[in-house]
Amino acid sequence: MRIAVCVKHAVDVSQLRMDSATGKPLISTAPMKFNDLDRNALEEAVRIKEKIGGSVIAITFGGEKAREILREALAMGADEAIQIVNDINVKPDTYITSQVLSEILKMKGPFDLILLGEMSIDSYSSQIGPRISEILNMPCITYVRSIEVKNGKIKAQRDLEDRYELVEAETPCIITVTREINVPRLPPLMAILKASRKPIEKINLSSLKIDAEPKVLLIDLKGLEVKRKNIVIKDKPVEEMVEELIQHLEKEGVLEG
Amino acid sequence: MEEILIYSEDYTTLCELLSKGKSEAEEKNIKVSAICSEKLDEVEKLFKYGADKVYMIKDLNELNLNPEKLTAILQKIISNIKPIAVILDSTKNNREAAARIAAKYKTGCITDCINFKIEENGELSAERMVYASKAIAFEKIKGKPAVLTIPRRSFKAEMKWNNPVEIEEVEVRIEKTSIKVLKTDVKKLEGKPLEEAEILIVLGRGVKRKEDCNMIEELAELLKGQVSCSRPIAADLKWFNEWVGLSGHKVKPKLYIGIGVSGAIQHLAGIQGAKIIVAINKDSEAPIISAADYAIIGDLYQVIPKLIENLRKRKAEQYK
Ligand SMILES: Cc1cc2nc3c(=O)[nH]c(=O)nc-3n(C[C@H](O)[C@H](O)[C@H](O)COP(=O)(O)OP(=O)(O)OC[C@H]3O[C@@H](n4cnc5c(N)ncnc54)[C@H](O)[C@@H]3O)c2cc1C
Ligand SMILES: Nc1ncnc2c1ncn2[C@@H]1O[C@H](COP(=O)(O)O)[C@@H](O)[C@H]1O
Repeated sequence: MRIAVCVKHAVDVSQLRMDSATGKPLISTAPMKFNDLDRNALEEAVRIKEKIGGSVIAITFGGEKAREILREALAMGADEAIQIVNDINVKPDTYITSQVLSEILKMKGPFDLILLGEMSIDSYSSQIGPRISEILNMPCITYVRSIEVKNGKIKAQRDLEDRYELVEAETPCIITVTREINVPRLPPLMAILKASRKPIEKINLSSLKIDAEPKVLLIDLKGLEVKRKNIVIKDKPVEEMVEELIQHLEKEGVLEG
Repeated sequence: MEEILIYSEDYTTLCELLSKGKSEAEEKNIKVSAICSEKLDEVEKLFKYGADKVYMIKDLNELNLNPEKLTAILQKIISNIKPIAVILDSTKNNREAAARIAAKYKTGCITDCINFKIEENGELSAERMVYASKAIAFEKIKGKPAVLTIPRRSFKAEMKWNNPVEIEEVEVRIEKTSIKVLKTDVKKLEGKPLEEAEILIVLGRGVKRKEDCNMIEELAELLKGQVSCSRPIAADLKWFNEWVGLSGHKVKPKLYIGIGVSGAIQHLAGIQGAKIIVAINKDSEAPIISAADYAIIGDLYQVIPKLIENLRKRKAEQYK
């Protein structure tokens, strides 16, 4: 089974700071990381490979530094890694990203399975999987918390707001996963060392035939900092701490429900 | 006449989106239409909530309306009326359909908007939370139709229009979909929507056993609040079906109390609307502490019983 996984180098939102002068988030200097859910997607791909055989290829579209997560992907068990470099500095929106990834999936395909995360932690759009499914004309199962592959058929459990759905589809198929699907492995040191010797293929965005005009334009970005009171009650007998808290809440007028 | 197409399987949300859509569209002489099923009894009221037109789909079985089918229905109507925008309520299935529609028509799509506007030139602009609610992005969509998804309870449904009733029946024949649903397990949802809770007690993985929820329920009862949880409590342990946070419910109670919740960024993203945030955690370094108005650093197994005791005493004194 040939499996492709789309992995994103995303802004590490927990470390994102605001510019004290403008109140705007400091995006261009923010630390980046392996999008959490794409680790789950990659883990699932490697598990399927370990069970029924095949190969896993990790694909990312991003800046130069995105290759860091490809190293990690190789250490986790991916066989190949491809980086599409944004060499012409387009402002990628979901329209562009989905075309770019689809082009590579076509170029390197056919794949039996394409795995993605349910969403990226920084842009949280949940669009890339379904968009690729339209472009490649492949079925897509979103919000999946378990996958079973048998005789070329996929059984997957979808986690929706008000129900779980067990669904079935033929391969080739696109799946977006939730974080409950597995616990990603931490690659051992040996694997990390070995991975650093595996090649990463680099493809320039400018060499792909896509429409690079974004369809969503960012007009403005405003930081949202809610000021909280930060009153910490500690190092006292529990009764006292509780009494103190209740008095604060009474004063705030939030206790009478 | 230009048109905006709106769909939600939830009647209240449909009304909310219609009212907001109509107030934005009215002055610009743009029509607002709704898609709904034959079975919806209260179709005529939709015209009071702002609809100019209703597309009635025959045999629309809401629960089995998977994203592929919804996409097919939307596509059929879109190809006829060529709307400037398509607006869906932000459920998981609808988000998928929205992305599919945007891909089909090679346009832009913004998921989870908190507000939108129609510009003079008919383009749509929208606001949405990004970076785990640390920022708001103001964005503009190019291309037709602009596709938006909007979470429930974002706008008020207003029964203030008197639009004439105009209903068009649409028949959509859907061939076999590529995904077959083998089994559906309905989740039992707890009480009223979390978005409407005034006082919300939220438990996290610091609570060790399911039985310990009883103690939290008792506290909630004393405070006349509602109980919910962090994502792992619901999605991994399944003690509850819904959770609070970025990927769950974004809540806006006047009082939020997080018990044994660490305050991961995705959790905090869902509680920024709270007036007062209280944290009870044994770890003074947990991120929720710096995101809280009031925090008690202590073992919840000691703090909660004392809290219950204290509140009980107060209640008893009130009745004296
Ligand atoms: C894409 C994505 C989306 C996500 N969306 C959400 C979401 O919407 N909502 C959400 O909640 N999470 C979400 N998560 C998960 C999130 O990252 C955290 O994993 C999760 O919120 C942690 O839950 P928790 O605080 O209950 O558990 P933990 O992080 O394990 O925290 C437990 C806390 O309890 C404290 N504690 C332990 N014992 C005691 C005790 N006896 N007394 C007092 N305190 C105690 C600990 O100090 C700790 O702070 C998402 C993750 C991803 C990747
Ligand atoms: N630049 C990218 N490169 C590779 N994969 C991506 C990229 N952006 C998004 N994805 C994939 O699409 C999923 C959903 O992202 P999003 O639509 O941004 O919420 C992610 O979990 C990734 O699997």
